Amino acid sequence: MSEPAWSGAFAPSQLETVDALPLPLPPREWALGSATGRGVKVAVIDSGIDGDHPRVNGVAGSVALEADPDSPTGHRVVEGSHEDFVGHGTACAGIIRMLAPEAEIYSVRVLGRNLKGKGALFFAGIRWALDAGMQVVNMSLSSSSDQWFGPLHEIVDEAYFRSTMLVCAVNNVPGPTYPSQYSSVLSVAARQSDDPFALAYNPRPPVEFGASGIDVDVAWTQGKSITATGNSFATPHVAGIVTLLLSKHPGLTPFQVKAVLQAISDNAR
Amino acid sequence: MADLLGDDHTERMTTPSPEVVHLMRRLGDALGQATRPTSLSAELTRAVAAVRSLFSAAACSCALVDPDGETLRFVAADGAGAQAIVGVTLPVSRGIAGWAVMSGQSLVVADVREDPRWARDIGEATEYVPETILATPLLDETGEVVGVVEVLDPQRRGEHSGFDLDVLGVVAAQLATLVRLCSVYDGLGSSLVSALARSEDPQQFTQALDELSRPDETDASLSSLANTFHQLAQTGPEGARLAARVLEEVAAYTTARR
Repeated sequence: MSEPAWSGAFAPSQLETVDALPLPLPPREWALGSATGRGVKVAVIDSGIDGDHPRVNGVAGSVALEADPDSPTGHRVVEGSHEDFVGHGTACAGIIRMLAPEAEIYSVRVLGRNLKGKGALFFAGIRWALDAGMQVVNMSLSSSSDQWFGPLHEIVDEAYFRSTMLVCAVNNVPGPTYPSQYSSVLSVAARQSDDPFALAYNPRPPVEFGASGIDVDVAWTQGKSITATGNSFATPHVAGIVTLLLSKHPGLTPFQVKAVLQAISDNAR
Repeated sequence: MADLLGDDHTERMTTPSPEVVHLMRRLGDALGQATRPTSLSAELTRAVAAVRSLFSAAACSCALVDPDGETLRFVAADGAGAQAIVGVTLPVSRGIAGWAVMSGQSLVVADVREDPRWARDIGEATEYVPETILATPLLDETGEVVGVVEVLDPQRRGEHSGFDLDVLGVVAAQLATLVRLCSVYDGLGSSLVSALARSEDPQQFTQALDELSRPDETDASLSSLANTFHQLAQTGPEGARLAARVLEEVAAYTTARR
C-alpha cells in the first residue's frame, strides 16, 4: 500500500459531496483572502525545527521537553533554540510558513532521533502549548498507547474549550491513535493535490479533513528539501489554513473553524 | 448472583511453580524452533532475489527491526553490494530504510545522493550507490513496523511510482507474515506461557513471568541445539533418524553420569 492509511477516504472515487453551511461568496476568498497569519501563534509539536532553513525563515520561540527522572514531573522544559533531530518538524514548519508567511511559529520538541517519543513528553508538549497561549497546534504525531487515551482526551477537551485548534495527523499505518481520533480535534489524512490550499471533507470520520500530502516537496535537514508522502505533511497544510482563517477572523471556536473548512472543501456544495 | 464455579473450581486449579513454567517455556521454544517449516533467512533471500528480478533492479534487500526497536539489521540481499550489506546494522533513525521504518510509509527516492535521509557511509560501504530506491515497511498484524524491503535502481517500472510501491507493498505484506510466523515458532513456549498468564489471574503468574523475562544461558544453548536439529531434519528422513539417535545416546550417557 503506497498511500498512508486513511487516505483512501479522500480518493475522488470515494469522496461524497457534502452540504456545507453557506458562506459569503466566494467561500475561500471570504475565509482566507489576503490573510497572512499575522498575529497567530502556531506551535509545532515534533522533532524540532531548523529555524535557519530558508523555507522556515525563523521561529518565534523554541522549547524542548526532555525526560528528567530527578524532576517531580519526570521531565524538564529546556527553552532556547535547538536542532531538528530528523527534519520532520522542519518540513511541517516550512509548509505552515508557505501558507501563512507572517505566523509566529514555535518549535515544541518532544520526539527523539528515531522519530519516537514518550507519551508523557507528548502530553507535556500539549500542556506547554496551551499554557503559552498558542492558537494553533500542529501535531504530525500521535500515540497508539491505550494508557494515554484518558489523559490525552482530557487535555484535548481543555484545548477545545479554550478555542485552541489542535490539528492532528492520523497514523500512516492502520489502527487507532490518539488524539487524532477524538472529535474535538481537526484530524487530517493525506490526499493527492497540487493545490496546497485544497481541502476535502470526509463525511465518514474519524478522519475529517484531507489535504495535500502525497509526493509533496518539503524542507528537511541540512537546508535541503525532499519529496515526501505522509499524513504528517498533510496536517501542516490544514494548520496553515486554520492559521490564515484565525488571522482574518479572530475568535472563531473549533466548531466554527470546522464548519468553515468544510465549506471551503473541494467536495462541498 | 451466583458464582457457579465457586470455590470448588478454584481448589482444583493448580498453579505451576516458576520452575515448571520456565521449563514449559524452554521446551516450547525449542519445539517451535525445531519444527518450524522454514528458515527465515533462506526464505527472505529467495524473496528478495525474486523481487529484484521482478523489477529488473540492481539489488534488493530486506532488513528487520531488532527486538530493542532501535536497530535495523539487514538479513537478506540479492544483487549489487549484497554480500556487503547482509549483517549490517544501523539505527532506525538513519537511512532511507530507517525512514520507512520510522514513518511506516512507503517511499520512492529518485535521487539518492541528494536526499539528506540517505546514510551515505552505509551506502558507500556496500560499493554500490544507487540513483533510485523504493522502500516499503513490513507491518505486523497490529500495524507495528517489523522491517523494510528496499529495491535499488529498478529498471522495470510501472506507469507511476504508486503502482511500483503497491506491488512492493504486496510483497512486504507476505514477508511480514513470514517474519511473524517464524517469530511465533521461535517463541512458542513464551507465547504459550504469556497466553496462560493473560487468561488467568495475573497474580498467579507474576512469578512465572518474572522468570520468563530473565536471561538464561541455558536458553541460548537449547536454542542452538534446536537449530542444529532443525538443519539435520531438513536433510531428509535419514538425517532426522540420525539426529534422534544421537540425541538418545547423548541423553543416556548424560543420565548415567549423574
